[in-house]
Amino acid sequence: MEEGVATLRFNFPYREQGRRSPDREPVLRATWLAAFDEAVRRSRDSTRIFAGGKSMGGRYASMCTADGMPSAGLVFLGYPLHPPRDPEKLRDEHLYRIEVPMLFIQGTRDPFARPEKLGPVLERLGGLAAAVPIDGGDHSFRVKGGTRDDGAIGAALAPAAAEFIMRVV
Amino acid sequence: MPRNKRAARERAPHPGEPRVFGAEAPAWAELSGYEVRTSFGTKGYRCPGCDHEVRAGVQHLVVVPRGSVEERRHWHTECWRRELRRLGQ
Repeated sequence: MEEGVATLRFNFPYREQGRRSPDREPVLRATWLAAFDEAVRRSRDSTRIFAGGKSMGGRYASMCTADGMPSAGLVFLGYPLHPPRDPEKLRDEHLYRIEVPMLFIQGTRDPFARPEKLGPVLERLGGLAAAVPIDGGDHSFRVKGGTRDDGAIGAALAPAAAEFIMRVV
Repeated sequence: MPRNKRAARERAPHPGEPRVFGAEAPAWAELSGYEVRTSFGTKGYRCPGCDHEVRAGVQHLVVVPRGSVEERRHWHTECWRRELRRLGQ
């Protein structure tokens, strides 16, 4: 990509098959591990591979990393911290087991991560966590009245992710 | 007999998994690899089919990947019907 970071993108099997209801957890995890292995195989320096993803994809990257997938850092595009109507049910337990830097790119209107719920999590993660709030963005970083398509919206997030990666490696 | 039936209905799909609430969905809604239940939501959810809200109190379907309650999604009944048609089920 433009920012000088090589990327390897993949879909979970359910998306490949055109389904919109996710695969089972073991399938999601196995897909991540297989993708990471492939990145290692293609990489010249396997100690500098970051894992990241949109929403559930990022969450599974973090769960795998907490359980030993050797990523150098994590980039979350809309981390699903809690169900939209259940902000007390935080999915943060495993994050505190992670020992690599994490970047949370998060819309400020994201119902899956209310700012007042994400703040304390970031604080508890301390120096390992960084955040890029996207002003007025929802779970897909769309802003009210915005005209950009999802491709343009996604591309606009790349510099922040690249800067974080460059700072870490 | 009624007791056993209820026990069967309330049993978790996989041991150790929290059980899924709601009645079994009609046969047309079944999809291999998933458990589909009907639900009256109390909270309001985002339907993956249309990306709009499933309002609290509206009967809808909960689609649970077998054994992965965490990855359940709440669908409008009609959106799930369309999804299955789209998938060629």
